[in-house]
Amino acid sequence: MRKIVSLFFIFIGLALLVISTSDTLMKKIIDERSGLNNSFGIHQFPGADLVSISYLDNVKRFQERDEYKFVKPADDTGSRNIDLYIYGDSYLKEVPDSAFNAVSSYHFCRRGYQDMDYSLNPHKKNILIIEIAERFARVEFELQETMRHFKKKHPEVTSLGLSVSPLIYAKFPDLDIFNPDINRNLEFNLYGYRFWDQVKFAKASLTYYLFKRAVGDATVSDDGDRLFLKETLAETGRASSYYPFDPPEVQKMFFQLNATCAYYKADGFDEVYLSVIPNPVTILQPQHYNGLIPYLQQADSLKCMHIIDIYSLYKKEPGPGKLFRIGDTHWSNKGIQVWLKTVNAELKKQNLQTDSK
Amino acid sequence: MVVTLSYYQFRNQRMRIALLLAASCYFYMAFVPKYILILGGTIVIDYLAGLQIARSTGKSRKTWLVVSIIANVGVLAFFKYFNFLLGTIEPLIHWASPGTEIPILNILLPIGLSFHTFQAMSYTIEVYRGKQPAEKDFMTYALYVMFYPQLVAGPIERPQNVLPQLHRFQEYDRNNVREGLARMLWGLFKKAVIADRLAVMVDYCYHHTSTLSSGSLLVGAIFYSFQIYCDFSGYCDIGIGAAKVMGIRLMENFNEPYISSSISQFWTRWHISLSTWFRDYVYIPLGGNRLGEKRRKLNVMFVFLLSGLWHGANWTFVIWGGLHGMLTALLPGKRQDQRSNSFLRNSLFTLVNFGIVTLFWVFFRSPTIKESLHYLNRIFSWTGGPFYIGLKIEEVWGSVVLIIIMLLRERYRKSYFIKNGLAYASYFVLLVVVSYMLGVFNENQFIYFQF
Repeated sequence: MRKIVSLFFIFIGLALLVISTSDTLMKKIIDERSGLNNSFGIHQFPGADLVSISYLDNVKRFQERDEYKFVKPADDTGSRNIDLYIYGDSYLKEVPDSAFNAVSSYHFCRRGYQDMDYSLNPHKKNILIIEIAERFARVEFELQETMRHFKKKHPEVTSLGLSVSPLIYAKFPDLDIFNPDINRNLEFNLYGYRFWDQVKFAKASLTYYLFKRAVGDATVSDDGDRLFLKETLAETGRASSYYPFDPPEVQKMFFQLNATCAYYKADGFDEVYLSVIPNPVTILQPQHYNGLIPYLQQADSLKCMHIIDIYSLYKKEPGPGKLFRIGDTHWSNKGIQVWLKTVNAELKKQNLQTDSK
Repeated sequence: MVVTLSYYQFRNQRMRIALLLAASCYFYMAFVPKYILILGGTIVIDYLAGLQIARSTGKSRKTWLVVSIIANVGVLAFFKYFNFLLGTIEPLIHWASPGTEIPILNILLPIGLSFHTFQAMSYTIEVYRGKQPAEKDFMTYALYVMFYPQLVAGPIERPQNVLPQLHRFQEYDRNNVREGLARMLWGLFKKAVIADRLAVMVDYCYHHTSTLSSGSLLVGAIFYSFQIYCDFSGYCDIGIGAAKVMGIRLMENFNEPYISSSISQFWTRWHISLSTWFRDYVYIPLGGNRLGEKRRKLNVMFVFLLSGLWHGANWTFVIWGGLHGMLTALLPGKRQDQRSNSFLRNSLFTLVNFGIVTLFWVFFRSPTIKESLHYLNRIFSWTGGPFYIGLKIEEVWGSVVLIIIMLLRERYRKSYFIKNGLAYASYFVLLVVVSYMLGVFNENQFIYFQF
């Protein structure tokens, strides 16, 4: 009997190891389990990703519902000369094409999730907005190898999907059996079930009420009123708003961004915009801010790229706390409206320039 | 779990060795796969050197020992000290030849390099001294170097202890499993509940040195003493426990170091496997205390400087080692059996010694000498201000309570074996629940993994 039990556990253990090692199997499992609404599903707290990852479901103060409301711009009445392409992230994933001004067609490609093969319409003004959350910017913009690679290849039909991960891994062809995410995957396969939720809620609540801390990847703000993503205010790590950068690192980013811009302009885009969305910490708890965005947005360093400077606008906001959701990494409806207003003003300007030609 | 269960399924010792070796390789390769080639290379050299030393006589024996030492020290020097050396002589190069570019190696340090090279060297030295027969079976020798419970952060084992155990077929022993698991849980508790909680506060202090009050920084320094102890000894508890589950007994690496009443006594209780390694393979061959007091002091100083450098390629570690060496060489050390009977006197010495060790840790923890001096300067400038070290005061006091619990448990309950089934189950459940509910899971690596 003992032998059978032992063999059973060996088999289960090996199966878990194999599954957790394979990205393909993990993706299938995650997709499958995301749709489950029973004990084997994945814990999610709707509209508040930080509440979700820190299991603070029992703490009401971070659970504010703030839905995005998208309306057609009031001045979107004239011609539509623009084909708008956005290469962005989750901040813009819900924005419909109707929210943009003067746009004939709108194409959104989500970084890291999909690729897009685009075919530009030469009769339209093709505008590309590279939108990125601040926490991803340093890693994304530093990959000089990637951009050199793209420039060299210059395929006839270019791929807008700048999904960099395959290129990074191509540079380090480590064996697949040594998956760098193995610990995270094992944790997901062993403890990532809803039937563990009550235990996790208990730990999260205990930690919060006893020590005023959040567990996991979230952290409570200094004023105790909201949650932040821990990595955005860590002492080290390039996702952090507090982690200092040195001039060579930023010079590399300038080079990268200018090369990116030149590349897409050569490829047929009329204008390329950069929009870095500040981490909530950058605006709301800026005492130790490293100053990355204002440094990056220096006009004289970014030669061919336009900037959608949301950082300065947010800094001027009288109630900056309202720009971000309190239990989520993303901006609030007010925050996204500030961005849309700025982008639409820019699109209108570009549209008028095309009209006048 | 898979490895341990499979281990007991095999009825053949060679199969067990093969299994443990494969598991160790997988464990090592999970960090940087290609570095297995370097480790494999040194294992082959040391294995052959061991056989040749045993077979040869006269000068040839020494030659093979030198080959083995050069291979191990060479790998260590290249990966760990190449950049340090270049950085150190950089001003000289720039002075001699302005504008010369210094080729800095952009490589990751193989994990546990200092540990397994020292363990490998102890094998060839012991074979050379005739205290250990050369291991004929390659797999067994490779496992001696790579045994995964202690591969990356020790204890730095001796061949006399481990190799005979690897040859012996261990029958399943329930008591070993229970004791091993209990010890692993204790290690987990020390790491996740104490060390990683203290790490939050210590990191905060070291990142906000200029703005915190002296009191806050002092508490931060004291907490680091316990953080590094719980982190390192916690790892050793887990490693020793994991080996015990398979019936293999590893050497103890700690023995309540903070109750030492002198620095020399501290080094008989802290990282015992390293200090005895230096004693047996460096201090004694240099003459130890046999060549007079002056030479003894020099030897002590040299060993401690080397020990500092062993920890890391940074002058902070050298200074840390040097300070320990200075006090060990200059102050009259008392062995445990020579301690005074006066409780008050002993307590006072223990307290003073703890204070000194704590201040020395500042060099160990700081990334640069400048920052360590700044930290110490801030402590002794007696700057007032509110007490804050990154966590709420309730959690700071909670940490103090946890430290006291840990110290009392290690003082008064040294064994991890609990005979009574109910008591064992209660201990097990209690530690699992407490470790989970109070654990700080920040994916903090063990501090000694970097060495």
